[in-house]
Amino acid sequence: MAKKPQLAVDTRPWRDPANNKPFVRIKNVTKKFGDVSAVHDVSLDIYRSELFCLLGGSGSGKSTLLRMLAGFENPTSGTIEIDGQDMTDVPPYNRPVNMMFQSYALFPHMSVEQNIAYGLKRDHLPKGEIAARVAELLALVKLQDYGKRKPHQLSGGQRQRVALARALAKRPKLLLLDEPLGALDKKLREETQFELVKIQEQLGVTFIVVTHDQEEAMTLATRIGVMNQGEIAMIGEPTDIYEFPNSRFVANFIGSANMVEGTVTADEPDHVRIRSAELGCDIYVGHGVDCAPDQILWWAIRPEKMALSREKPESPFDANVTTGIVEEIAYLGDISVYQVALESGKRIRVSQTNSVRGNPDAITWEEKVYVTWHDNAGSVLTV
Amino acid sequence: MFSRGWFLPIAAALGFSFLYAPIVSLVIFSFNESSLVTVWSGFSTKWYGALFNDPQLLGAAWLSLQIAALSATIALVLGTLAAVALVRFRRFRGRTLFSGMVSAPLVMPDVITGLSLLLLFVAMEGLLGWPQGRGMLTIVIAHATFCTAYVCVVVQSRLSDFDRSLEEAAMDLGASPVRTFFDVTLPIIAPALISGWLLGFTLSLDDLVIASFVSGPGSSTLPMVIFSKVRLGVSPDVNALATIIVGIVALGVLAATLIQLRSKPKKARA
Repeated sequence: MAKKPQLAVDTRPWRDPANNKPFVRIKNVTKKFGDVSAVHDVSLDIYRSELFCLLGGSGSGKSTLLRMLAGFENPTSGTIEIDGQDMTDVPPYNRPVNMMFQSYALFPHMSVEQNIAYGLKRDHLPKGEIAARVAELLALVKLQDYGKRKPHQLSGGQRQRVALARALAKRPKLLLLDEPLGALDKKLREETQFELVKIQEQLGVTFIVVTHDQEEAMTLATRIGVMNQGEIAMIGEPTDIYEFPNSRFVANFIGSANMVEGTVTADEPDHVRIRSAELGCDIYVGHGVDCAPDQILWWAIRPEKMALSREKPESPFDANVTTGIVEEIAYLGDISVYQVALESGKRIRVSQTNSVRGNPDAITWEEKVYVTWHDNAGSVLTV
Repeated sequence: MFSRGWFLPIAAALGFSFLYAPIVSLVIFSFNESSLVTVWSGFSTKWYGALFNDPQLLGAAWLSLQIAALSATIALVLGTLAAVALVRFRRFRGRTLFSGMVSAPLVMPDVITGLSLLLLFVAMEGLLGWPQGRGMLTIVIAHATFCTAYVCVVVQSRLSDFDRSLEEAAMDLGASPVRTFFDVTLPIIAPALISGWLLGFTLSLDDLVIASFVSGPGSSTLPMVIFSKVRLGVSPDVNALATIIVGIVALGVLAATLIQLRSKPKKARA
């Protein structure tokens, strides 16, 4: 039997927290502004060379958390450790951390070169070394010919790159990025996302990115921390967050989900049955769930994890099949999203890949259809 | 409907002549040869020459310039501090009250400001022995008082659209708060400071009412000397002097406006 090729060392230290020391350690951090807590009892470990995304809506506390890491805000309680050192009361100008601001915050009265050199001058590096480092950074962000310009003579994308170069100039251990791509248009944003990841991998710096754009978080991040009302709702790799949400909030916040309420009718170690009046059928879940009979819980499924058919499909457990009428179809080119009205009046969304070109036999409006799904396709949620 | 035709040009001409006709006639008559102010007898610059041989006027002008420079400088420091406090410490108790109080001197009648300062100086001399008598010092203090309000308003408007993340960026890159102030804050608000100072300088140079209340013997400012001269009958050398003052004030205001204008669009684009 041929030997399996040796896999590279796992570069995901968070999967083995017992043997890996976190690089950034946020312990029970709370920040109150008056009576309002912007961040409430957040604990978070981030490992070296990670690209960690804090994802949340406005007012979720993600920016406040970032500002506490930079030192612009002091936690009301809790501690922040970076590389084994307590940073809680260290002012921003003494932290081994740099930040890229949402507004870029380029000094308008200084040229691009002077902006990038500013942090190096504060460290009193020799002139020659500063010049060499500035040239190196300008090359990194592909702005070699723009060193003498003032920020107002640059385009939005160029300013973004100057801001990145300035933040990287001091070779920080940790780089904080506040909505780094928020001010760019869609096309430029997509290009820049990959460039950002490339630079991060090239330099090996730990990045913490704050964003409200889930697509951006999914593309960039090694792990995502979803924040809601000042608390961390879930931490995980992008696939975990999308495929295995831990709560109704996360299921709804990331992507789109159909959510129904149901009652547990059978609770076995290898499967669970849930009766849902909303769905008009039983849900058979092909794995054990930590729940009790008669418990009311929620079940969420992504639109692309369901299938539509005109004929009634086989249902081995007498479950996971329901029926309804197609109300709306949104044709998006690659996929179509069908809105199906079930008998209970509940509307669910099902998306199907348009794999046949101009399919004349496609399901259309007002048709009666069966909706079916695999017994592991949905998530059972208790909170 | 007024966009074409004769209405707008005429309205503009009327408005501007109402504003500037008196000043233009003053400038013209300053070059009049006759010693009668209202009778034109030919072009001459002799009254300018006479002006520079009048020690009383020259002394008063010098005093006024000194007072204006000093009080504008004091007002610049105090007004900037007040503006920083008002803009930066958004949540302190009594902010609204303080904010209203700092701009009240802008609308306070000069007579009241002058009178209240005079009473204060008299009371202070009685209680503390300072300031002794009234003179240049009391005028400087009085002028600094109302100029502070103007400087504060100008600097405040500049600071309120100042992007604070610029300061945070400097600190993030290793600059101490003091360093940040001199490297980032000061260069960016400098145009407002300069125009605030120029505004204070011009206002102080112009002031007659407040100065009359708080001045003492031997410390007559230029406007006071002119006013007393005019009461004895207008002499043509006053026209010459007034023309020079109009020139200085216009230059000051023009410079202040230009500095503000030049800095604004830059900021908007950056």
